[in-house]
Amino acid sequence: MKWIDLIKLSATNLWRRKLRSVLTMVGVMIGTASIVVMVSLGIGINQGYIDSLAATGELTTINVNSNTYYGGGGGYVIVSVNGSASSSDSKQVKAIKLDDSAMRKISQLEHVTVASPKLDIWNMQVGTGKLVSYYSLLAINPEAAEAMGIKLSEGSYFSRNASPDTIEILMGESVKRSFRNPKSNRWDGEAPDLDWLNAKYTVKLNDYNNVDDDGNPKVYEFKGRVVGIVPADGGEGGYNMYCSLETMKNIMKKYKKVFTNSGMKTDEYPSAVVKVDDFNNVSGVQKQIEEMGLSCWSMADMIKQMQESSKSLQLMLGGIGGVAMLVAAISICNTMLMSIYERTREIGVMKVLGCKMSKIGAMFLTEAGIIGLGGGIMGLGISYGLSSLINTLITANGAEESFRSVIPPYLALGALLFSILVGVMAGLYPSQRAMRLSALAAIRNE
Amino acid sequence: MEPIIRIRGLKKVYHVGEERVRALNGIDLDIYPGEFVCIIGRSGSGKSTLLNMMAGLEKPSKGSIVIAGEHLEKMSEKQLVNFRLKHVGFIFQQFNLFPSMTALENVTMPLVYRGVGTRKRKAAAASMLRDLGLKTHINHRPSQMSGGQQQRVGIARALVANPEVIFADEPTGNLDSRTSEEILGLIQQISRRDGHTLVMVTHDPSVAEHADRVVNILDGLIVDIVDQREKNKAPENTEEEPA
Repeated sequence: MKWIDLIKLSATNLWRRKLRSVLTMVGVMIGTASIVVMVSLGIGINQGYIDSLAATGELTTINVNSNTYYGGGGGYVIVSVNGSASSSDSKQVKAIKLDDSAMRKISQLEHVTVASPKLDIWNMQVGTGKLVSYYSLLAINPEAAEAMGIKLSEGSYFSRNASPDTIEILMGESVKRSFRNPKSNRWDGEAPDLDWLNAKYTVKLNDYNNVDDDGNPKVYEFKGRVVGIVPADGGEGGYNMYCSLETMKNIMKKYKKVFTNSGMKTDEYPSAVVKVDDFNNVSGVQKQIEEMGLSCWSMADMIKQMQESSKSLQLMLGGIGGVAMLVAAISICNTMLMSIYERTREIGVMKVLGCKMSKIGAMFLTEAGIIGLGGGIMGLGISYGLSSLINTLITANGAEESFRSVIPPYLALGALLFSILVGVMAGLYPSQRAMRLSALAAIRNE
Repeated sequence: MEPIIRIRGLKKVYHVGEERVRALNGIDLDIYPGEFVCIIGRSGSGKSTLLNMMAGLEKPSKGSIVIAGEHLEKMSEKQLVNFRLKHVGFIFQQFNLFPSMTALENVTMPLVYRGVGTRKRKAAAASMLRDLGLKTHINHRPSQMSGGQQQRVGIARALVANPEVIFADEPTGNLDSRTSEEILGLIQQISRRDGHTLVMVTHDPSVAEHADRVVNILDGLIVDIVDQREKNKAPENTEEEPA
């Protein structure tokens, strides 16, 4: 017997008992729909959260902090195991300096796309004309700017062969508002109207250990140039004024005393930022860096926990659907058994006519499978309906955007396969019964 | 000539509560290819049990049944189904057509079980129905046909796969006498044409008159076997005697 004939035969048999078939399918439909909707909510919550974090570009970022930069012995770094920092399975590593050699090691780690120190130059001031910004410069690796996720709305990144006595600046959109005349009391928080890319800037290095009689520090002046503008959504909210670490290192070498007097170290960094190729590799890289003796912080820890809790939520929700599915399976089994009871003679005739027993069994399994599939399709339809209804309601009520119902293709496909599987499983016993029925039933003259 | 069916020492005992009922009590019978054999006996004589066993629907308690060289008494149920698929056609008293299918679909079923392609099996079934005079009823369902028509569909279904042996269990039991005659004529005509061996069970002597040989069964034993070939060869004056 060919498969196509078997399926046709099974479908015809179900069609003969339309109402009963459909009612049984409704059971599967409810089961499938409840599982899919429940799981879709879980996925939606998960995804909404990750999406909102991904938008900030923070998901693949590890922030490394020095334990030694601000003095003290540095102490120890706690290495978290499996993403959780619970005390029982953590170990401690002696803290090390975050210096160039540590940075080299970090950037050589697998999955690290870029690593750059972040050095806050807080004793320099950027000004143009009479305006001065209170933001300090943040020195980063010039080649890393783009890979760190810093975007530009205008201009370009640091030039390759920057003149050593011009400090190139990537200016955040929000920083513009900080430029004001220190002698004026008027300040409305508005960005001054400037041609930001072409204005002339001066960068003043203040030597606070060399104060004149009026209490003003000795000042060294450098030329500044804004080469690019970082929009508000272009990384860290456009709240930074980035400058090239290379340029800064030259200046620091020359004016070492001035910097050390201000409490800044010239051979190590307070913090660094590390970018990893994929979110899933973040915790692995983070662990390696921690084992070197450096403290780390990333979104991965938070998301891990969040995923754990949403997984158990999903399991619970899916479990409720599972109960509905179990009831559906019992109802399929019942329907099939009734059908076999009614078709005893027919099955006997099939046997007498030479239909193989395995095919008779397969026919009933197929019928049960079709019930499952039918219910699954109906359930999926209902799920899509409910899902979009939930989403419209959420949007209409202006609830948190992170809460949505999402049915990814794998969930839809999985639900269909699962409903078929449930049907077939529920049909196993009835089909065995059908196979064992006696062919003699066909000849009995009632 | 080698018999196509060879039965030796066949016994069947049913256990009904404490009692043991001997349905068949040692049957020896040879049936030859192309023969039309009628097994006749009263109700409870064991004739149906004998037929069921030959068709592999019941297991013998003792003895052997060899059909087309294969020992039925040694086969599992699976093997018996396969055996029927290859060698046996069956005509039922109650027609046993699939009610949801048309005449044509009913007749194609044995071919469906054999895995024959759609076009081929439809052609075979249609031509078989034509031979049985049901050309106009090909797409009728059983409920739209008379008893005689339904049985003709049943016969077509038994013959369509061209089996070597056809078993018929009181095929005219549910039909009036006129239709019975018609049906018997058809069965005989086609099985003779195609060389089928036909084994029929009946309690009706007028049905048995058509057979080549008549096996009389009483209380699970063969009483006698009457060869009617000579008699039936005589001119058609037996066909319709004036009242």
